[in-house]
Amino acid sequence: MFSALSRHQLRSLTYRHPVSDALYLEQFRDAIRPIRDYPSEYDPDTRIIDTGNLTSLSLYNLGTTKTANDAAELTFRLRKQLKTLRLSVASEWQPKIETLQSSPEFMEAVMIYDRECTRDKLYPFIYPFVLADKPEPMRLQELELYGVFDAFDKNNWLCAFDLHTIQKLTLMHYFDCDIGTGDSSFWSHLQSQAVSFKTFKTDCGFNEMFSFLQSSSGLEALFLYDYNRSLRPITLSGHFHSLRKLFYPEWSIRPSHTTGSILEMVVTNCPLLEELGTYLVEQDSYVSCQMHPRPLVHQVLRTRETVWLLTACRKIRLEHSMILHVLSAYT
Amino acid sequence: MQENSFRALDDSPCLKRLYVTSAITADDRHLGHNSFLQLFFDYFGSRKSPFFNRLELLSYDTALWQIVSTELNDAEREDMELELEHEPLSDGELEGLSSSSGHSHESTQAGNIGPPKEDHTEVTDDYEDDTDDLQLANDFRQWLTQPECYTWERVRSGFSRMPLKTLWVHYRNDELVWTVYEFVIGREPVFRPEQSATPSIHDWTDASDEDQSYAFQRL
Repeated sequence: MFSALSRHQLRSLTYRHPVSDALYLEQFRDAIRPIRDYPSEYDPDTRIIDTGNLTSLSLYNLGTTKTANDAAELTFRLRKQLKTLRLSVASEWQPKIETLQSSPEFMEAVMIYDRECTRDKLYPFIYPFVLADKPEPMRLQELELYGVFDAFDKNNWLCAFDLHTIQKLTLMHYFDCDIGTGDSSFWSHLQSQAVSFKTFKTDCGFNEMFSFLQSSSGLEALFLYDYNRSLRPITLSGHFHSLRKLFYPEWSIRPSHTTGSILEMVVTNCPLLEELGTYLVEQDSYVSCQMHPRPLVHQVLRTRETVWLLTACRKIRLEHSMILHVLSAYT
Repeated sequence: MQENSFRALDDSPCLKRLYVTSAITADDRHLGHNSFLQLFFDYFGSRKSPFFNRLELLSYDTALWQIVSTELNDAEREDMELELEHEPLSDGELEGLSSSSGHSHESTQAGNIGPPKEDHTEVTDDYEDDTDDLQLANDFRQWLTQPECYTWERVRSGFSRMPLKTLWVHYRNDELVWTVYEFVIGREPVFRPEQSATPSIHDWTDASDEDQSYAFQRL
Protein backbone atom coordinates (compact mmCIF):
# COMPACT_ATOMS: atom_id res chain seq x y z
CA MET A 1 0.00 0.00 0.00
CA PHE A 2 2.69 2.47 1.00
CA SER A 3 4.92 1.58 -1.92
CA ALA A 4 2.08 2.60 -4.26
CA LEU A 5 2.41 6.21 -3.14
CA SER A 6 4.61 8.38 -5.27
CA ARG A 7 7.67 9.96 -3.75
CA HIS A 8 7.04 12.59 -1.08
CA GLN A 9 3.29 12.24 -1.53
CA LEU A 10 2.54 11.21 2.04
CA ARG A 11 1.97 14.19 4.31
CA SER A 12 -0.28 12.73 7.00
CA LEU A 13 -0.55 9.17 8.30
CA THR A 14 -3.26 7.87 10.59
CA TYR A 15 -3.34 4.25 11.64
CA ARG A 16 -5.75 2.74 14.13
CA HIS A 17 -4.63 -0.67 15.31
CA PRO A 18 -7.21 -3.40 15.77
CA VAL A 19 -8.43 -4.09 19.27
CA SER A 20 -7.18 -7.28 20.86
CA ASP A 21 -9.37 -9.68 22.77
CA ALA A 22 -7.88 -8.49 26.02
CA LEU A 23 -9.99 -5.33 25.83
CA TYR A 24 -13.15 -7.37 25.77
CA LEU A 25 -11.89 -9.55 28.56
CA GLU A 26 -11.50 -6.47 30.67
CA GLN A 27 -15.13 -5.62 30.13
CA PHE A 28 -16.45 -9.14 30.57
CA ARG A 29 -14.25 -10.65 33.19
CA ASP A 30 -16.33 -13.78 33.46
CA ALA A 31 -15.68 -14.75 29.88
CA ILE A 32 -13.14 -17.54 29.67
CA ARG A 33 -11.19 -17.05 26.48
CA PRO A 34 -7.48 -17.00 25.80
CA ILE A 35 -5.99 -13.58 25.31
CA ARG A 36 -5.15 -13.40 21.64
CA ASP A 37 -3.25 -10.55 20.08
CA TYR A 38 -4.18 -9.43 16.61
CA PRO A 39 -1.94 -10.69 13.82
CA SER A 40 1.06 -8.47 13.42
CA GLU A 41 1.06 -8.80 9.63
CA TYR A 42 -1.70 -6.19 9.56
CA ASP A 43 0.60 -3.58 11.02
CA PRO A 44 2.00 -1.13 8.52
CA ASP A 45 5.64 -1.62 7.70
CA THR A 46 6.92 1.82 8.59
CA ARG A 47 10.35 1.11 7.13
CA ILE A 48 9.12 1.33 3.55
CA ILE A 49 7.13 4.54 4.00
CA ASP A 50 8.57 7.50 2.19
CA THR A 51 8.39 9.99 5.01
CA GLY A 52 10.02 12.93 3.27
CA ASN A 53 7.01 15.22 3.61
CA LEU A 54 5.24 13.53 6.50
CA THR A 55 4.33 16.16 9.06
CA SER A 56 1.34 14.58 10.78
CA LEU A 57 1.50 11.18 12.48
CA SER A 58 -1.44 9.58 14.31
CA LEU A 59 -1.14 6.09 15.75
CA TYR A 60 -4.02 4.82 17.84
CA ASN A 61 -4.58 1.83 20.08
CA LEU A 62 -0.98 0.65 20.24
CA GLY A 63 -1.14 -2.60 22.12
CA THR A 64 1.88 -4.76 21.51
CA THR A 65 5.57 -4.31 22.11
CA LYS A 66 6.30 -4.63 18.40
CA THR A 67 3.89 -1.91 17.32
CA ALA A 68 5.02 0.34 20.14
CA ASN A 69 8.66 -0.10 19.18
CA ASP A 70 7.86 0.58 15.52
CA ALA A 71 5.96 3.69 16.49
CA ALA A 72 8.73 4.89 18.78
CA GLU A 73 11.33 4.34 16.08
CA LEU A 74 9.22 6.17 13.49
CA THR A 75 8.49 9.06 15.84
CA PHE A 76 12.15 9.50 16.67
CA ARG A 77 13.14 9.33 13.00
CA LEU A 78 10.64 12.09 12.14
CA ARG A 79 11.39 14.24 15.18
CA LYS A 80 12.61 17.23 13.18
CA GLN A 81 9.76 17.42 10.70
CA LEU A 82 6.65 16.41 12.62
CA LYS A 83 4.15 19.17 13.39
CA THR A 84 1.35 16.95 14.65
CA LEU A 85 1.65 13.83 16.79
CA ARG A 86 -1.22 11.76 18.15
CA LEU A 87 -0.62 8.59 20.16
CA SER A 88 -2.91 6.34 22.12
CA VAL A 89 -2.17 3.05 23.85
CA ALA A 90 -4.54 0.20 24.58
CA SER A 91 -5.57 0.22 28.21
CA GLU A 92 -4.63 -3.40 28.86
CA TRP A 93 -1.17 -3.19 27.33
CA GLN A 94 1.87 -3.21 29.58
CA PRO A 95 5.10 -2.19 27.84
CA LYS A 96 8.16 -4.34 28.32
CA ILE A 97 11.53 -4.92 26.76
CA GLU A 98 11.90 -8.18 24.88
CA THR A 99 15.52 -9.26 25.10
CA LEU A 100 17.69 -12.31 25.53
CA GLN A 101 20.62 -10.40 27.02
CA SER A 102 21.28 -11.01 30.68
CA SER A 103 24.36 -8.98 31.50
CA PRO A 104 24.12 -7.11 34.84
CA GLU A 105 24.44 -3.70 33.16
CA PHE A 106 21.70 -4.47 30.72
CA MET A 107 19.43 -5.87 33.43
CA GLU A 108 19.80 -2.65 35.35
CA ALA A 109 18.73 -0.70 32.28
CA VAL A 110 15.75 -3.03 31.90
CA MET A 111 14.78 -2.43 35.51
CA ILE A 112 14.88 1.32 34.99
CA TYR A 113 12.86 0.96 31.81
CA ASP A 114 10.24 -1.18 33.55
CA ARG A 115 10.02 1.22 36.46
CA GLU A 116 9.47 4.17 34.15
CA CYS A 117 6.87 2.22 32.21
CA THR A 118 4.86 1.57 35.35
CA ARG A 119 4.80 5.34 35.90
CA ASP A 120 4.22 6.25 32.27
CA LYS A 121 2.82 3.96 29.61
CA LEU A 122 3.96 6.38 26.93
CA TYR A 123 7.57 6.03 28.05
CA PRO A 124 8.52 3.67 25.17
CA PHE A 125 7.89 6.55 22.74
CA ILE A 126 9.94 8.96 24.79
CA TYR A 127 12.73 6.49 25.53
CA PRO A 128 14.77 7.23 22.36
CA PHE A 129 14.74 10.93 23.22
CA VAL A 130 15.86 10.22 26.78
CA LEU A 131 18.73 8.08 25.51
CA ALA A 132 19.93 10.70 23.04
CA ASP A 133 23.19 12.37 23.99
CA LYS A 134 22.04 15.79 22.89
CA PRO A 135 18.40 16.56 23.73
CA GLU A 136 16.43 17.37 20.60
CA PRO A 137 12.82 17.82 21.66
CA MET A 138 10.21 17.85 18.93
CA ARG A 139 8.88 21.28 18.03
CA LEU A 140 5.28 20.20 17.54
CA GLN A 141 2.30 22.42 16.98
CA GLU A 142 -0.23 19.81 18.00
CA LEU A 143 0.23 17.02 20.53
CA GLU A 144 -2.44 14.51 21.50
CA LEU A 145 -1.67 11.77 24.00
CA TYR A 146 -4.24 9.23 25.19
CA GLY A 147 -3.52 6.90 28.10
CA VAL A 148 -1.56 9.23 30.36
CA PHE A 149 -0.52 8.07 33.80
CA ASP A 150 -0.74 10.44 36.72
CA ALA A 151 2.82 9.68 37.72
CA PHE A 152 4.76 10.32 34.51
CA ASP A 153 8.11 12.00 34.90
CA LYS A 154 8.00 15.49 33.44
CA ASN A 155 11.76 15.48 32.82
CA ASN A 156 11.36 12.60 30.38
CA TRP A 157 8.65 14.48 28.54
CA LEU A 158 10.77 17.60 28.34
CA CYS A 159 13.39 15.55 26.49
CA ALA A 160 10.83 14.74 23.81
CA PHE A 161 8.56 17.80 23.56
CA ASP A 162 9.25 21.49 23.34
CA LEU A 163 6.19 22.73 25.19
CA HIS A 164 6.55 26.32 24.03
CA THR A 165 5.78 25.52 20.39
CA ILE A 166 2.65 23.51 21.10
CA GLN A 167 -0.56 25.34 20.28
CA LYS A 168 -2.94 22.46 20.77
CA LEU A 169 -2.44 20.05 23.66
CA THR A 170 -4.60 17.04 24.45
CA LEU A 171 -3.87 14.83 27.45
CA MET A 172 -6.67 12.35 27.88
CA HIS A 173 -7.50 9.11 29.66
CA TYR A 174 -5.59 10.37 32.61
CA PHE A 175 -5.54 7.63 35.20
CA ASP A 176 -3.66 6.39 38.20
CA CYS A 177 -0.94 3.79 38.03
CA ASP A 178 -1.22 3.31 41.76
CA ILE A 179 -3.29 4.78 44.52
CA GLY A 180 -2.04 8.11 45.70
CA THR A 181 1.10 8.39 43.60
CA GLY A 182 0.05 11.12 41.22
CA ASP A 183 2.77 13.53 40.23
CA SER A 184 1.54 17.03 39.44
CA SER A 185 4.94 18.61 38.84
CA PHE A 186 4.28 18.75 35.08
CA TRP A 187 1.52 21.29 35.63
CA SER A 188 3.62 23.31 38.05
CA HIS A 189 6.34 23.35 35.41
CA LEU A 190 3.92 24.67 32.79
CA GLN A 191 2.88 27.38 35.20
CA SER A 192 6.42 28.39 36.10
CA GLN A 193 7.49 28.49 32.45
CA ALA A 194 4.47 30.60 31.48
CA VAL A 195 3.46 28.13 28.78
CA SER A 196 0.20 28.86 27.03
CA PHE A 197 -1.86 27.05 24.42
CA LYS A 198 -4.58 27.95 21.96
CA THR A 199 -6.51 24.71 22.45
CA PHE A 200 -6.38 22.56 25.54
CA LYS A 201 -8.21 19.31 26.28
CA THR A 202 -7.80 17.11 29.34
CA ASP A 203 -9.56 14.97 31.89
CA CYS A 204 -6.87 15.56 34.50
CA GLY A 205 -8.22 16.61 37.88
CA PHE A 206 -5.12 17.92 39.65
CA ASN A 207 -5.37 21.18 41.53
CA GLU A 208 -2.11 22.18 39.85
CA MET A 209 -3.74 21.76 36.44
CA PHE A 210 -6.45 24.22 37.44
CA SER A 211 -3.80 26.57 38.86
CA PHE A 212 -2.03 26.44 35.51
CA LEU A 213 -5.28 27.27 33.73
CA GLN A 214 -5.82 30.14 36.10
CA SER A 215 -2.33 31.54 35.57
CA SER A 216 -2.26 31.24 31.79
CA SER A 217 -4.15 33.26 29.22
CA GLY A 218 -5.14 33.30 25.57
CA LEU A 219 -6.98 29.98 25.30
CA GLU A 220 -9.40 29.87 22.38
CA ALA A 221 -10.80 26.39 22.98
CA LEU A 222 -11.01 24.56 26.29
CA PHE A 223 -12.31 21.03 26.86
CA LEU A 224 -12.51 19.95 30.50
CA TYR A 225 -13.68 16.49 31.47
CA ASP A 226 -13.06 16.32 35.18
CA TYR A 227 -16.18 14.85 36.71
CA ASN A 228 -15.58 15.89 40.25
CA ARG A 229 -14.93 19.57 40.19
CA SER A 230 -16.98 22.65 39.70
CA LEU A 231 -15.74 25.06 37.11
CA ARG A 232 -14.87 28.15 39.09
CA PRO A 233 -15.09 31.57 37.47
CA ILE A 234 -11.58 32.50 38.52
CA THR A 235 -10.18 29.51 36.59
CA LEU A 236 -11.20 31.07 33.31
CA SER A 237 -10.54 34.69 34.13
CA GLY A 238 -7.41 34.87 31.95
CA HIS A 239 -9.24 33.43 28.97
CA PHE A 240 -12.46 35.39 29.01
CA HIS A 241 -11.57 37.62 26.07
CA SER A 242 -10.16 34.90 23.82
CA LEU A 243 -12.37 31.88 24.49
CA ARG A 244 -14.44 30.77 21.49
CA LYS A 245 -15.19 27.15 22.42
CA LEU A 246 -15.84 25.72 25.85
CA PHE A 247 -16.80 22.18 26.84
CA TYR A 248 -17.44 21.08 30.42
CA PRO A 249 -19.89 18.24 30.14
CA GLU A 250 -20.56 16.85 33.60
CA TRP A 251 -21.74 17.96 36.96
CA SER A 252 -19.55 17.87 40.01
CA ILE A 253 -20.04 15.76 43.08
CA ARG A 254 -20.58 18.75 45.27
CA PRO A 255 -21.18 21.82 43.15
CA SER A 256 -20.29 25.11 44.70
CA HIS A 257 -22.13 26.92 41.95
CA THR A 258 -25.43 26.20 40.30
CA THR A 259 -25.28 25.71 36.57
CA GLY A 260 -27.29 28.88 36.10
CA SER A 261 -24.62 30.99 37.76
CA ILE A 262 -21.78 29.26 35.86
CA LEU A 263 -23.59 29.76 32.59
CA GLU A 264 -24.21 33.38 33.44
CA MET A 265 -20.54 33.82 34.27
CA VAL A 266 -19.44 32.22 31.00
CA VAL A 267 -21.81 33.89 28.59
CA THR A 268 -21.55 37.36 30.06
CA ASN A 269 -17.78 37.38 30.40
CA CYS A 270 -16.76 35.69 27.16
CA PRO A 271 -17.70 38.06 24.34
CA LEU A 272 -16.28 35.78 21.64
CA LEU A 273 -17.80 32.52 22.84
CA GLU A 274 -19.50 30.83 19.87
CA GLU A 275 -19.78 27.21 20.98
CA LEU A 276 -20.65 25.86 24.40
CA GLY A 277 -21.02 22.28 25.57
CA THR A 278 -22.37 21.95 29.06
CA TYR A 279 -24.85 20.29 31.38
CA LEU A 280 -27.91 21.81 32.97
CA VAL A 281 -28.92 21.12 36.53
CA GLU A 282 -31.99 22.73 37.92
CA GLN A 283 -31.22 25.03 40.78
CA ASP A 284 -31.52 23.50 44.24
CA SER A 285 -31.16 20.04 42.79
CA TYR A 286 -28.69 17.82 44.61
CA VAL A 287 -28.86 14.98 42.15
CA SER A 288 -25.32 15.87 41.22
CA CYS A 289 -24.21 14.18 44.41
CA GLN A 290 -25.93 10.99 43.44
CA MET A 291 -25.93 10.23 39.74
CA HIS A 292 -22.59 8.79 38.77
CA PRO A 293 -20.53 7.51 41.70
CA ARG A 294 -23.09 5.42 43.47
CA PRO A 295 -23.93 3.05 40.64
CA LEU A 296 -20.25 2.33 40.21
CA VAL A 297 -19.72 1.72 43.91
CA HIS A 298 -22.78 -0.49 43.97
CA GLN A 299 -21.43 -2.48 41.06
CA VAL A 300 -18.05 -2.77 42.67
CA LEU A 301 -19.46 -3.86 46.00
CA ARG A 302 -21.25 -6.73 44.33
CA THR A 303 -17.86 -8.18 43.47
CA ARG A 304 -16.91 -8.15 47.16
CA GLU A 305 -13.34 -7.27 46.29
CA THR A 306 -11.89 -4.51 48.38
CA VAL A 307 -9.14 -3.70 45.91
CA TRP A 308 -11.65 -2.96 43.25
CA LEU A 309 -13.58 -0.75 45.62
CA LEU A 310 -10.53 1.26 46.61
CA THR A 311 -9.42 1.64 43.01
CA ALA A 312 -12.84 2.75 41.95
CA CYS A 313 -13.10 5.21 44.82
CA ARG A 314 -9.74 6.63 43.92
CA LYS A 315 -10.64 6.99 40.28
CA ILE A 316 -13.86 8.81 40.94
CA ARG A 317 -12.44 10.58 43.99
CA LEU A 318 -15.32 9.89 46.29
CA GLU A 319 -15.38 11.66 49.56
CA HIS A 320 -14.93 9.55 52.66
CA SER A 321 -18.34 10.39 54.01
CA MET A 322 -20.00 9.11 50.87
CA ILE A 323 -17.99 5.89 50.92
CA LEU A 324 -18.97 5.26 54.53
CA HIS A 325 -22.58 6.03 53.73
CA VAL A 326 -22.65 3.53 50.87
CA LEU A 327 -20.75 0.92 52.86
CA SER A 328 -23.17 1.23 55.75
CA ALA A 329 -26.03 0.41 53.42
CA TYR A 330 -24.42 -2.90 52.62
CA THR A 331 -23.23 -4.05 56.02
CA MET B 1 -38.03 24.41 34.72
CA GLN B 2 -34.44 25.13 33.54
CA GLU B 3 -35.44 28.79 33.30
CA ASN B 4 -32.34 29.99 35.11
CA SER B 5 -30.14 28.29 32.57
CA PHE B 6 -32.18 29.47 29.61
CA ARG B 7 -32.22 33.03 30.93
CA ALA B 8 -28.44 32.95 31.23
CA LEU B 9 -28.10 31.65 27.66
CA ASP B 10 -30.36 34.40 26.41
CA ASP B 11 -27.76 36.99 27.44
CA SER B 12 -24.96 35.50 25.37
CA PRO B 13 -23.51 37.99 22.89
CA CYS B 14 -22.47 35.61 20.10
CA LEU B 15 -23.23 32.00 21.07
CA LYS B 16 -24.12 30.08 17.91
CA ARG B 17 -23.90 26.45 18.92
CA LEU B 18 -25.13 24.87 22.12
CA TYR B 19 -24.49 21.28 23.16
CA VAL B 20 -26.27 20.09 26.29
CA THR B 21 -24.96 16.75 27.50
CA SER B 22 -27.65 16.28 30.14
CA ALA B 23 -30.31 18.18 32.01
CA ILE B 24 -31.49 17.30 35.49
CA THR B 25 -34.72 18.64 36.87
CA ALA B 26 -35.33 19.76 40.43
CA ASP B 27 -36.95 16.42 41.22
CA ASP B 28 -33.84 14.55 40.07
CA ARG B 29 -35.13 13.44 36.70
CA HIS B 30 -32.98 13.21 33.60
CA LEU B 31 -34.89 14.98 30.85
CA GLY B 32 -35.60 13.05 27.67
CA HIS B 33 -34.91 14.41 24.20
CA ASN B 34 -38.48 15.42 23.51
CA SER B 35 -39.00 17.04 26.88
CA PHE B 36 -35.88 19.10 26.52
CA LEU B 37 -36.76 20.24 23.02
CA GLN B 38 -40.25 21.22 24.08
CA LEU B 39 -38.94 23.13 27.09
CA PHE B 40 -36.39 24.87 24.93
CA PHE B 41 -38.90 25.95 22.32
CA ASP B 42 -41.54 26.84 24.87
CA TYR B 43 -39.05 29.24 26.40
CA PHE B 44 -37.34 30.71 23.34
CA GLY B 45 -39.84 30.16 20.53
CA SER B 46 -42.30 32.77 21.61
CA ARG B 47 -39.94 35.57 22.55
CA LYS B 48 -37.63 37.84 20.64
CA SER B 49 -34.28 36.42 21.58
CA PRO B 50 -31.08 37.38 19.74
CA PHE B 51 -29.54 34.15 20.99
CA PHE B 52 -32.36 32.07 19.56
CA ASN B 53 -32.21 33.90 16.21
CA ARG B 54 -28.47 33.30 16.07
CA LEU B 55 -28.53 29.64 17.11
CA GLU B 56 -27.56 27.29 14.29
CA LEU B 57 -26.87 23.99 16.06
CA LEU B 58 -28.36 22.43 19.19
CA SER B 59 -27.71 19.06 20.76
CA TYR B 60 -29.16 17.30 23.74
CA ASP B 61 -27.78 13.99 24.96
CA THR B 62 -27.49 11.86 21.81
CA ALA B 63 -29.72 14.02 19.60
CA LEU B 64 -28.50 16.76 17.29
CA TRP B 65 -30.62 19.39 15.57
CA GLN B 66 -29.96 22.13 13.10
CA ILE B 67 -31.98 25.20 13.99
CA VAL B 68 -33.33 26.55 10.74
CA SER B 69 -35.42 29.54 9.79
CA THR B 70 -39.08 28.89 9.02
CA GLU B 71 -39.16 31.54 6.33
CA LEU B 72 -39.54 29.97 2.91
CA ASN B 73 -37.44 30.89 -0.05
CA ASP B 74 -38.99 31.15 -3.50
CA ALA B 75 -38.22 27.57 -4.47
CA GLU B 76 -39.67 26.20 -1.26
CA ARG B 77 -42.78 28.34 -1.64
CA GLU B 78 -43.27 27.01 -5.16
CA ASP B 79 -42.87 23.44 -3.93
CA MET B 80 -45.39 24.08 -1.21
CA GLU B 81 -47.98 25.45 -3.59
CA LEU B 82 -47.45 22.59 -5.98
CA GLU B 83 -47.82 20.09 -3.23
CA LEU B 84 -50.97 21.69 -1.88
CA GLU B 85 -52.59 21.40 -5.30
CA HIS B 86 -52.36 17.65 -5.13
CA GLU B 87 -53.97 15.20 -2.82
CA PRO B 88 -51.65 13.70 -0.27
CA LEU B 89 -50.31 10.28 -1.03
CA SER B 90 -51.95 7.35 0.66
CA ASP B 91 -49.93 4.97 2.79
CA GLY B 92 -49.98 2.39 0.02
CA GLU B 93 -48.63 4.85 -2.49
CA LEU B 94 -45.94 5.95 -0.11
CA GLU B 95 -44.87 2.36 0.44
CA GLY B 96 -44.85 1.80 -3.30
CA LEU B 97 -42.60 4.78 -3.80
CA SER B 98 -40.35 3.63 -1.01
CA SER B 99 -39.98 0.11 -2.36
CA SER B 100 -39.31 1.37 -5.88
CA SER B 101 -36.45 3.49 -4.63
CA GLY B 102 -34.53 0.32 -3.88
CA HIS B 103 -32.72 1.67 -0.84
CA SER B 104 -33.87 0.86 2.64
CA HIS B 105 -32.32 4.03 4.00
CA GLU B 106 -34.28 6.20 1.61
CA SER B 107 -37.48 4.36 2.28
CA THR B 108 -37.08 4.96 5.99
CA GLN B 109 -36.66 8.65 5.43
CA ALA B 110 -39.65 8.84 3.09
CA GLY B 111 -41.84 7.25 5.71
CA ASN B 112 -40.78 9.71 8.33
CA ILE B 113 -41.16 12.96 6.46
CA GLY B 114 -43.51 15.48 7.93
CA PRO B 115 -46.10 15.27 10.67
CA PRO B 116 -47.61 11.96 11.77
CA LYS B 117 -49.44 10.19 8.97
CA GLU B 118 -52.79 10.10 10.67
CA ASP B 119 -52.82 13.90 10.74
CA HIS B 120 -51.72 14.32 7.17
CA THR B 121 -55.13 15.03 5.62
CA GLU B 122 -56.14 17.36 8.38
CA VAL B 123 -52.90 19.23 8.10
CA THR B 124 -53.62 20.31 4.56
CA ASP B 125 -57.13 21.38 5.44
CA ASP B 126 -56.04 23.26 8.51
CA TYR B 127 -53.46 25.13 6.57
CA GLU B 128 -55.96 26.28 3.98
CA ASP B 129 -58.65 27.24 6.44
CA ASP B 130 -56.39 28.50 9.18
CA THR B 131 -59.32 28.35 11.59
CA ASP B 132 -58.07 26.57 14.63
CA ASP B 133 -54.85 28.09 15.92
CA LEU B 134 -54.94 26.13 19.13
CA GLN B 135 -55.22 22.87 17.22
CA LEU B 136 -52.30 23.96 15.06
CA ALA B 137 -50.19 24.68 18.12
CA ASN B 138 -51.01 21.29 19.56
CA ASP B 139 -50.23 19.63 16.28
CA PHE B 140 -46.91 21.37 16.24
CA ARG B 141 -46.03 20.27 19.72
CA GLN B 142 -46.93 16.75 18.84
CA TRP B 143 -44.87 17.08 15.71
CA LEU B 144 -41.89 18.36 17.68
CA THR B 145 -41.77 15.03 19.40
CA GLN B 146 -41.27 13.27 16.10
CA PRO B 147 -37.69 12.57 15.05
CA GLU B 148 -37.93 14.30 11.68
CA CYS B 149 -39.31 17.70 10.80
CA TYR B 150 -39.21 18.59 7.15
CA THR B 151 -39.72 21.20 4.43
CA TRP B 152 -42.45 23.75 4.14
CA GLU B 153 -44.66 22.32 6.82
CA ARG B 154 -42.49 23.99 9.42
CA VAL B 155 -44.00 27.35 8.48
CA ARG B 156 -47.16 26.33 10.28
CA SER B 157 -45.49 26.34 13.64
CA GLY B 158 -45.79 30.06 14.16
CA PHE B 159 -42.19 30.04 15.38
CA SER B 160 -39.49 31.85 13.53
CA ARG B 161 -37.09 28.92 13.79
CA MET B 162 -37.43 25.17 13.88
CA PRO B 163 -35.34 22.14 14.82
CA LEU B 164 -34.29 19.87 11.99
CA LYS B 165 -32.81 16.64 13.22
CA THR B 166 -29.45 15.90 11.70
CA LEU B 167 -26.69 13.32 11.97
CA TRP B 168 -23.52 13.66 13.97
CA VAL B 169 -21.53 12.17 11.15
CA HIS B 170 -22.20 15.28 9.06
CA TYR B 171 -20.01 17.15 11.51
CA ARG B 172 -17.24 14.64 11.75
CA ASN B 173 -14.64 17.27 10.95
CA ASP B 174 -15.91 19.72 13.51
CA GLU B 175 -13.84 19.23 16.62
CA LEU B 176 -16.29 20.27 19.31
CA VAL B 177 -19.30 18.54 17.72
CA TRP B 178 -17.36 15.32 17.44
CA THR B 179 -16.09 15.66 20.98
CA VAL B 180 -19.65 15.98 22.24
CA TYR B 181 -20.68 12.99 20.16
CA GLU B 182 -17.90 10.84 21.58
CA PHE B 183 -18.81 11.95 25.07
CA VAL B 184 -22.53 11.20 24.88
CA ILE B 185 -22.03 7.92 23.04
CA GLY B 186 -18.99 6.73 24.88
CA ARG B 187 -20.00 7.30 28.46
CA GLU B 188 -21.33 4.49 30.53
CA PRO B 189 -25.11 4.28 30.64
CA VAL B 190 -26.88 4.72 33.93
CA PHE B 191 -26.52 1.49 35.84
CA ARG B 192 -29.78 -0.33 36.30
CA PRO B 193 -29.51 -3.01 38.97
CA GLU B 194 -31.72 -6.05 39.02
CA GLN B 195 -34.16 -6.43 41.84
CA SER B 196 -32.20 -4.89 44.64
CA ALA B 197 -32.79 -5.54 48.30
CA THR B 198 -31.81 -1.99 49.18
CA PRO B 199 -34.68 0.42 48.57
CA SER B 200 -32.46 3.48 48.52
CA ILE B 201 -30.78 2.28 45.35
CA HIS B 202 -33.94 3.04 43.40
CA ASP B 203 -33.73 6.68 44.34
CA TRP B 204 -31.03 7.32 41.84
CA THR B 205 -31.76 4.66 39.23
CA ASP B 206 -35.40 5.50 38.68
CA ALA B 207 -34.73 8.59 36.59
CA SER B 208 -37.28 7.67 33.98
CA ASP B 209 -38.56 9.70 31.08
CA GLU B 210 -40.34 8.86 27.90
CA ASP B 211 -37.13 8.03 26.06
CA GLN B 212 -34.73 6.90 28.73
CA SER B 213 -33.83 3.84 26.74
CA TYR B 214 -30.35 5.01 25.80
CA ALA B 215 -30.91 3.47 22.41
CA PHE B 216 -28.16 5.43 20.85
CA GLN B 217 -28.53 6.65 17.34
CA ARG B 218 -26.51 4.56 14.96
CA LEU B 219 -24.53 6.31 12.26
